[in-house]
Amino acid sequence: MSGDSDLLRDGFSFPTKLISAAIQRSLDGHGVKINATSTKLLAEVCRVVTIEAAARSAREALQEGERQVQLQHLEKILAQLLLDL
Amino acid sequence: MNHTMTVEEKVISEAMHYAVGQICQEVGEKIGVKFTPEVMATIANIVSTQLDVYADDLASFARHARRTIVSTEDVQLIVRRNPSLKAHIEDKAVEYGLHQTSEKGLKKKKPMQAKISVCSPVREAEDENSDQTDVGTGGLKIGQDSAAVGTMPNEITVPPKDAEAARVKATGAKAGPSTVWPDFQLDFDNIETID
Repeated sequence: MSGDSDLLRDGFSFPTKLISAAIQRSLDGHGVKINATSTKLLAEVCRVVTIEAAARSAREALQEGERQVQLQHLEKILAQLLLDL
Repeated sequence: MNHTMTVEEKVISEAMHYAVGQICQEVGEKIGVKFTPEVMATIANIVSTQLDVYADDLASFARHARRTIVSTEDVQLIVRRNPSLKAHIEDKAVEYGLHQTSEKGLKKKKPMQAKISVCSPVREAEDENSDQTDVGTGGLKIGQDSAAVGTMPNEITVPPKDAEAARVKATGAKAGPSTVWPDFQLDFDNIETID
């Protein structure tokens, strides 16, 4: 449990401008805009998704006794990750 | 699979890839593993795709509420299905909301201090470079299996100053006052076209 909060604490995150640039086209298609706080929040969601994907894959690798996380480890956790989101 | 068509899309996908790489590296250091480039590229693809889906959903939610601006409620609605993620984002929404108010209303001191006091105990504990505080209660538990993640050895995190310097060097971003949200420069005018 405490390990989870360690993974989430202090981290590099997605730059707000990057997130807003990435979603702008979709938003323009619907004729909506987004405010700064929501973009920041969305960046946090993306950050958690990334961390979760990385951490679950890493756990898979460690369970196999590997210190390098490879595609096979990512593949194993991918289905459950997407279901959990 | 569609390859990125425009120059702008290519810049965005490379930036996403870079950010994902940074995050993976941090996670790897904390857990004690290394990620192959293929894994990081795939995770970047996953996040980009999810972002597209989210953008579509967010726009639909805003329009459904007869609004033209996507709000934080919309973002919270996106993550409603996963209880721990939902709780984490709720905490962050409160934190960002308080942060926003504290930047604006500096006139009245009394109510301001009441708001700041909620944040400051957590902020004092953090490094000056980092705003990413874990305001949540016990830690995030996404899905059933993530409890095992807590058993991983807790590696010493990369000193934020070095990470910041490395990031600034790599992206050529301005090394201004360090913020959580680096000033990402998308300079479309100066991008060389690839024929």
